[in-house]
Amino acid sequence: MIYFDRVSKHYDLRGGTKKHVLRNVSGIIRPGDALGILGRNGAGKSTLVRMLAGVEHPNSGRIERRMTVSWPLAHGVGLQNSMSGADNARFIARIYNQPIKKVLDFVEDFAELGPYMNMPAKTYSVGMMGRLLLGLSFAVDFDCYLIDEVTATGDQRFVQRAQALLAEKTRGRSLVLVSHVPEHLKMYCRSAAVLNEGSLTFFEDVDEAVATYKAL
Amino acid sequence: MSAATGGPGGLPKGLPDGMPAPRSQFEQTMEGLRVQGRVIHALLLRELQTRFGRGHLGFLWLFLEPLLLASAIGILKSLFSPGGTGAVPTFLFVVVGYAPYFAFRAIINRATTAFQANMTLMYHRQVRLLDIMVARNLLEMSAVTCVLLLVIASTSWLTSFAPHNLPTMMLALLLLFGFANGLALLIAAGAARWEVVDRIVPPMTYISLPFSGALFALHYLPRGWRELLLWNPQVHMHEMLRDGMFGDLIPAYYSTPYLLAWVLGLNLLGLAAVRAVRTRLEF
Repeated sequence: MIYFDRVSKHYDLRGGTKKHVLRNVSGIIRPGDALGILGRNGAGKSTLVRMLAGVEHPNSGRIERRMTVSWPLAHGVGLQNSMSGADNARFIARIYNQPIKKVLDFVEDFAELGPYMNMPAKTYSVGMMGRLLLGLSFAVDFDCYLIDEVTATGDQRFVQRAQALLAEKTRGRSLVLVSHVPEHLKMYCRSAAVLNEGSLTFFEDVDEAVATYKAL
Repeated sequence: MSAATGGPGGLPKGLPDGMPAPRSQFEQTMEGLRVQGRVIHALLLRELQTRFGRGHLGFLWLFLEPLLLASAIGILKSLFSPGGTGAVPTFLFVVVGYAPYFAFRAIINRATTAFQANMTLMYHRQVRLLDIMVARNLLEMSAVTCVLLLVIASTSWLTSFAPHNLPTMMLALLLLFGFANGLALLIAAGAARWEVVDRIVPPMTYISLPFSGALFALHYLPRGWRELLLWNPQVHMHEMLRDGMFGDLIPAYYSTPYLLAWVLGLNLLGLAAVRAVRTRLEF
C-alpha cells in the first residue's frame, strides 16, 4: 500500500516565481491496483511518480510506503549510460540484494539484447533501453511498479511480452503507470486518474478518465 | 469506492487498517546498516568500472597514477638536493608528503561534481548522497594506501629503511580520510546549492598546498611560522604521517585530539549539510 496525503510540490523558478506542480494531492494505492495516471506534458506526472518512489521529497504532505516499490522506470534514469547492460544488471542486483546470476539470466531472456548486453547502455536504442529497464525491475520482483512512459516505446512484440509479464506479476501486486497516451492506459490499467493543473482526479473506469482527459 | 481513492480534502487522519506495525528501532538501524554496506560495495565496483573500464589494467591505474607522479617528483627532488633532509632520504620524504596530498586533492576536487554526476543513481531510494561520497573517497584512500605500502615495502627491502611506527601512519591516513570525507561532504552540498563553489574549490586546493605541510617538515621552520601553521589541521596530519614514517629522525609537531576534533566536526557539519540539501535536489 502506498498512502499519500495532501501532498504539494512546487519548483522555484528564476526570478523568484514558483511553479506549483501538485496541490494537496491525496490517494491510496492498494495491492492489486493497476492505476493509470493521465496528464499532459509538464502536468507533474513524473514528479508524482518520483515522490511515490521516495526519491524526491514533497514540500508539504505525507507519503508512506508499506510495500516494496520499484524505482521510477523512466527513460535515461536509474542506469549508468557508460556501463553495459550486463554491468548495470550487476549493479541493480547488488543494491537490491538479488542473486547476480538470477538478474542477469532474467534480463537476457526478457530484454533480448543479444550481443548488446555487453555494450555501453548509451549505444542502445530507446526501445532497447525500455526493455532493459523493465527487465531489470521485473527481475527484482517488487510489490508495486512505477512506470513512467517506458512501455510507450516498445514494438508490438515487446508490448505483448510486457503485458503478459505485468498481468502475471501484478496479480496481487500493484502498478502505477503514467502516460499522456490514453491507449497505453487501456492496455495495462484497471482504474485511472487525471492529473491537471496540480490536482489529481480519480475515476473508477479507464474510459471515463480518458474522456475527461480528452476534453481538457 | 474505487481501489485508488482520494480527493482535495485529503484522507482521514491516521493510517488505514491492515498496515503492518513498524519494527523496533534497533532492527531498523541494523537493516539500514546492511543496506548501506551493500550500496557502498556496489558503488565502489561501479566507480572502478566507470573510471577505469573493465579489464586491462583496471584497478592498477588507480594507484599507478599517484605512484608515478609521487615517484617522479621524488626522483627530481633527490636529484636536485642529493643531501636529503637530515638523515632522511629525499625520495621517501617527498613520497610520504605528496602521495597523501594527491589523494586529498583528488577527493576535494571531485567532490563538487559528485552529486550532479550521480543524479541518475538517486532514482534508487536506498542510494544516499553519503554513500556516493564515501564510496568515491574509499577508493581514493585505498589507492594511496597501496602506493605508500608499496613504496615503504620496496624501500625497506632495498635500503633497509623501515618505517618507525606503522600504526601511527595508518591512523594518520585514517584521519586524513575522515578529514577529506567531511570536507568533501560540505563542498558537495555547497556545490549543489551554489554554482560558484564549483569554480572556487580547485584554485583553493592549489593555494592551500604550500600551507598544507605536505612539502616540508615543521621542524625546519622558524618558531613563529610553525605556530601559525599548526592552526591548519592538514599540517597535523602530514606531521603525524612523517612521525610514523621517520620517528625521531625529524621531530614532529602535532596533536591527535585537535585533529580528531576537526574530523568529527567536519563530518557532522557535512552530514547535516548533505541532509539539508537532499530535499532541494531537483531531477
